Amino acid sequence: MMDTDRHRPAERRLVKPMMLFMFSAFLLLGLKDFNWLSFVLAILVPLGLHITTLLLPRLFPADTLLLGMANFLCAVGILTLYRMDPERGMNQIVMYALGLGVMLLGILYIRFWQRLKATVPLVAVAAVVLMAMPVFFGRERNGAKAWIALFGVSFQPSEIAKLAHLVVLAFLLSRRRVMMAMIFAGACLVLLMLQKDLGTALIYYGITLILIFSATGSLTRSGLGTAGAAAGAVLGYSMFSHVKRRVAIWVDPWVDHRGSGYQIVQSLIAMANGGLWGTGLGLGNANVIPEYSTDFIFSVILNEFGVLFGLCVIAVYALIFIRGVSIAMRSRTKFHTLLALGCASFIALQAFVIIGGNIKLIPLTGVTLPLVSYGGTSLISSLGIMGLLQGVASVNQEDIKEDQMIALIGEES
Amino acid sequence: MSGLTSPVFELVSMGLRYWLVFLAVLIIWRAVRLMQKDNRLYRKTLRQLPDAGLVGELVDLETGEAFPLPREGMIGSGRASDIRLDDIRRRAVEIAFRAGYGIKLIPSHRKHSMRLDDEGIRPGGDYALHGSVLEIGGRAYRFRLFEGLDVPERKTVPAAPYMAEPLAQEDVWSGQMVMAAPPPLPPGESDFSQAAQSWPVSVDIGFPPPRDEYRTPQEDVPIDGEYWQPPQEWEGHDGY
Repeated sequence: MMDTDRHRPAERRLVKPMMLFMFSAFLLLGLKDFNWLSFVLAILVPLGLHITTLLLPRLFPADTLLLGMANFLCAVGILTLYRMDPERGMNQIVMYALGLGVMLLGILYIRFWQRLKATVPLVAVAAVVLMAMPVFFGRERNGAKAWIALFGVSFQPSEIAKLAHLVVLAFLLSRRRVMMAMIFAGACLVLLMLQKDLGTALIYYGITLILIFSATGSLTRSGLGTAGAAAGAVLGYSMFSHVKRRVAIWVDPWVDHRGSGYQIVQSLIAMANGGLWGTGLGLGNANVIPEYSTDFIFSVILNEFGVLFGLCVIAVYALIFIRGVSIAMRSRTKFHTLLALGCASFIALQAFVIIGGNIKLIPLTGVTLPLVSYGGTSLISSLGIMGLLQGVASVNQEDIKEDQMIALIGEES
Repeated sequence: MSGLTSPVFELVSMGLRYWLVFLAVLIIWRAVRLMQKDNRLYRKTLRQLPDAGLVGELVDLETGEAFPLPREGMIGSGRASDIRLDDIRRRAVEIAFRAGYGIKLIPSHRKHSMRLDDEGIRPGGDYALHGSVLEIGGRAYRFRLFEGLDVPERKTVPAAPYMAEPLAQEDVWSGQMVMAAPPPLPPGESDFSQAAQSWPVSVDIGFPPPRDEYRTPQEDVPIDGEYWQPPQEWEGHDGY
């Protein structure tokens, strides 16, 4: 974002309706049962939006537009979760605060990249080790063995490894080490397949393909990659029973609407019940969907806020993607370009996969809606990805300043 | 307290649906406007900085043709190369500017015939400085880096392959450079008149060129919160 005073009023104009939105919504929830916590949140959440979107960028360089969009999605997630289950809503606020810290680390990592790029081999090894842990010590949940518990904290390593995956791929491809990048991505994919976490594997694969195509411009490699994806899908379908079940549910969920198709059927009913304008905040009944706080949070949003609001949420993701691509195109180095493109694509692709699954456009996969769904690991990793993107944006800003300074030196001489 | 009665809450909540959707649409609208405004401002800034993202030029010592030199890129004959030269490999050499060092040249292939300043380039790469000569594909190119970049100075600049003696640093900065080809024609001159002329051995091409010499005047753009103004005596040049 061009950091000039002329932009400040425009940024404030963007944040004001967000604050008003959150104030109105939490106030309404407070009026439902005169819960003091809702009234407190009606003040604190808009205030938090103001501080994180307008004041934090004064302390560390950030793209305010991107930050505003990400904060709005997080706030919608907190609101929806608080409405469904206040305890989860409060947990999400804590995770959001932690995520902001990770975002700051992401920014710093990119800003000090020249000094920290020596850590890339370590990051790559850490990513592979993290991804391998659930294969040996993981707990199975919804058919996937993707979770581990360390020191009493349960988390999904593949979510954290996303950040490492992006950094390592961008680094290797920027140095034209295509084969090494493919080996690294292949190792991650094999480990994800062993975890049977096919939704995440699909996203990792898609990102790898996008980055390889962007870095090399090779249609042959990309074509082979796409063919490999098709072959992998067929292989996954024939190997894993839960994949077969999910495809069958996708084709016709009503065949077993009380059993395996229960989730998707309830999701479709909730969305249809919401209609264009929604049932009204606090009046929905989407909590009958089993995974309403994670995989199906988009259905809950459509149920209570309506299809029009759902389209706005999709538009926010589209804006984040467009902004990310714009940041990538403004970058001066290949590493930054690839990293920004990867980050933007990761958020967009994950949103597409889960929203598509919710509305029965594609088979359902167990991934979260980035920045919105309940879950500490997911929120923290999504904010970490936003941090990497913000880091690239801030480096771009520095580069433009440097160009302006060189131009001034040229004028003086 | 028990809160609003169910019918009243329903009424308020259903009424508020439209308000919330209106606010969401307003947020999207303002975000799109802000993005457009930012893109306009960025393009405007770039118009004022036509060399943004560049660190100098690579000049063909035979024809005088100059190729803009990006911070990072690839020299080759392929479609994806940032600097496309004929009669070389599709991806010949990778370039990357590094502050304090210069431009690192990393050959894409172990076996190559490229030479930098009369020495073969090592597979791991070598640094080119301002005035360095790269011989590639049977031609010689000189690196001309912008002033203000953090690049180490060199004592002498190597001669082009057809020059007897290397240029001293002061010769380079005083603007004297041997040209094998004539400078661009002045407006209105035809090729026939050019053919009849005898070109001087040494031509002043303003070496290195001040960054703004060939800049076209544009609207004001903010620089660090202020607005950049072209100098009063500024006169545009179409070239050097």
